[in-house]
Amino acid sequence: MPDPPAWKHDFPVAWEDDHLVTRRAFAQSLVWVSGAAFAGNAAFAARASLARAQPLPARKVADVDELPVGGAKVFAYPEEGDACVLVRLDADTFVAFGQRCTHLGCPVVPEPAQGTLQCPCHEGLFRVTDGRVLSGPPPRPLPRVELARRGQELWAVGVRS
Amino acid sequence: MTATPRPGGPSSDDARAREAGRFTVLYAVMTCLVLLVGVQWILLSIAIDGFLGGPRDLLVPAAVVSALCCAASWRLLRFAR
Repeated sequence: MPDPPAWKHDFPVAWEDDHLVTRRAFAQSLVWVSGAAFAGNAAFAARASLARAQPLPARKVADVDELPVGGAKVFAYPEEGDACVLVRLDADTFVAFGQRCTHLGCPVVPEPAQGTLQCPCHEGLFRVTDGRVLSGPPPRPLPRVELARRGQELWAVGVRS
Repeated sequence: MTATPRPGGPSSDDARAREAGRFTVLYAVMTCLVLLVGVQWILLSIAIDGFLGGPRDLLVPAAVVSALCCAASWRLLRFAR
């Protein structure tokens, strides 16, 4: 019996150990990937629909006298980890926005004197009156927290994206 | 002068042509599947973006189109024999 060629010593893979994937099996795996992508899409849509169906709780944010005109306060709404910022524009006008920049999530800093909320990471600028993007990379306005005044107290009652 | 029959003959050519046709269909199916999965990948990224604070109005349409793509993939697999 002749000696096996040198490559069989270097790459001793037997045919029965070789895991061949047929074209049909590959096509089947693509269909599984397609199903997984659909499942992910459906899950996101379902979770968003459920979240929309449940009204957000009302939560006290601050007392009216707590903030001077041009002052700002950070609070959490609707969950503990959702940082928001409340700004007093004049004696009777308060606005509140989610503090997470819509670009990459850095916290925005209110600059009421300049009429802006500034993201220090990439210099995104938002208008303090309505949260719209003035300049920089953010693709969307800041989510606005809806406020209600109850006597001398300010309450957060919802979020509008 | 008489023509010498080739080994295998005409029936062998037919089988080879059928085989080639089968592979053409299979490759076409695989190409379509890759394209559909690519579209679904884009839809999934839109859904993630919407879920994380982007436009939420697109979530349900993206899921519906993704479902159609998935159904089309499933149908296409029947041609991959």
